[in-house]
Amino acid sequence: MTAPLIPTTLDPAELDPVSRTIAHWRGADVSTRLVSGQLGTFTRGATATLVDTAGAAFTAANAMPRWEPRDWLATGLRTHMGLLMGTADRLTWTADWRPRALAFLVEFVENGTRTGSGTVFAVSNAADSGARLVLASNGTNYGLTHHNGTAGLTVTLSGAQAATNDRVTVRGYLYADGSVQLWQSLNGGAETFTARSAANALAAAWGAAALLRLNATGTGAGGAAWYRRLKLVPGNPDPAVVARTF
Amino acid sequence: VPTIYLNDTPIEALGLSLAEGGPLLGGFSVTRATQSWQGRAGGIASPVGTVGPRVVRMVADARVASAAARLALMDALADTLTGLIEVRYEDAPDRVLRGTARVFEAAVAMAPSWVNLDPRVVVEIECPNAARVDVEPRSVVLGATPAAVPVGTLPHGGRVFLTGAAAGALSTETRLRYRGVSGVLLGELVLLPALLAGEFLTIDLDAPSLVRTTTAGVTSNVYGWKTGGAFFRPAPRDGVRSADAWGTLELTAGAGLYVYARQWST
Repeated sequence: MTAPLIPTTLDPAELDPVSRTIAHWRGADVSTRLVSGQLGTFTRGATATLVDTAGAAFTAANAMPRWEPRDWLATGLRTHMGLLMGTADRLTWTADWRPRALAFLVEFVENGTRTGSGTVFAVSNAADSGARLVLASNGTNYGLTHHNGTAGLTVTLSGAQAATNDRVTVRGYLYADGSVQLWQSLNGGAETFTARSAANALAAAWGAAALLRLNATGTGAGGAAWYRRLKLVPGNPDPAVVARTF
Repeated sequence: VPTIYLNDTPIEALGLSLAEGGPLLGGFSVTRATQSWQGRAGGIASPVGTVGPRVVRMVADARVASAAARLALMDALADTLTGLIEVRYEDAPDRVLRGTARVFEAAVAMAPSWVNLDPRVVVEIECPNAARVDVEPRSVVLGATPAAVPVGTLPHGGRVFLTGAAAGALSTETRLRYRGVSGVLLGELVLLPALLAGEFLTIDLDAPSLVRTTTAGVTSNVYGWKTGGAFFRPAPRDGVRSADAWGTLELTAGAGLYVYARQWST
């Protein structure tokens, strides 16, 4: 009998992907690591459950991210891997970059009713003070807040509201003048969007010790969602460019 | 219509039109040494075969309006072809190759290049892992009952996240067993873990390694917990694809979650 062929490791160890984003996290990588290689910090203080590709249940230990496949394409099969997060789950990365014009894209499935503090992602410090950027639900709709440490403003979507198990894609811009704008698509449908807000001058830096945070701000309760992708891209390119920026 | 994606970017979005080197349909070439013996007709095959790195080659044309636009296109391509590159094909967008560019050439059909602007671009990307890998991994919950592990056309590794029952403590001998579709034992890893409640062990079948993670998220190397057996890889030869019947994994103690990406020669 001949031995089977063994594939070599996925990546040559001496080379890494070159990301052209500020941050790009993909659930399919089954890692807290960004495409650029920056390792995230995951915390949860208790056990929690998930299901596998076949729908069988598993209890994850305290600090174990809940990698769970979901039916992202509505095919009836759990084909896409993501990170299931509850109100106690936190995933953060350092945010050493300054406030600047940027575009973001976040893909997730709602896994429970959003509350007034149900954050999707944020750039904020532990006290949620100083300059910050927060995408969160007000209990009904998603809103994007830009605070420059002195004054804050928020744009909030209206109309269609995400419900449990909805596949949600939210994208938005922080413009160079500090104004913000937000778009939302539910279950692959047409986008709804807000008007562009008034200007709100960018601060020189985010609040002291700010982190990029998925699912929570520094102080508020987390959301309950299954996350597939979070991407922040420099500048305000059109959506097609944001989608294909690696 | 997109043809080839380089790091999620269709080459068409870069301004290229694919001329040659379309999707790879076949598997790869295996080199297997044979030794001739006197008095024998034929040779004796080596027990192992060898496959070199996969080379993705594409030839594409671009239409540019000026020499400056051509230079901008070349710069954009050079940026894209930096570092480890993910390559996907439109006809199999859910499988990915990863490699580095070893050839990036561009030439015009006829000199002088400042009169004939449109370049023909040749790119070769060498992929150390010749396999195409599932973009989206799969997961299987493991316990005492053998759980089927669907496989691509090549063996794969992956990671098992091991805990006590319901994420409780685990300090008894635990065997991770891999069986073929006939039930015969093909691989076994024997562990003597010392997991506290809320902790988990990551068994990396690729590395291979054993890493303990505490409730505080602190990790440590616990390779010494391996007391017997050997790391293994589920392989397609252990299942029957046409019957959707596969090799299985089971645990003699505790609970596990196996996360892996299938690997394909095609």
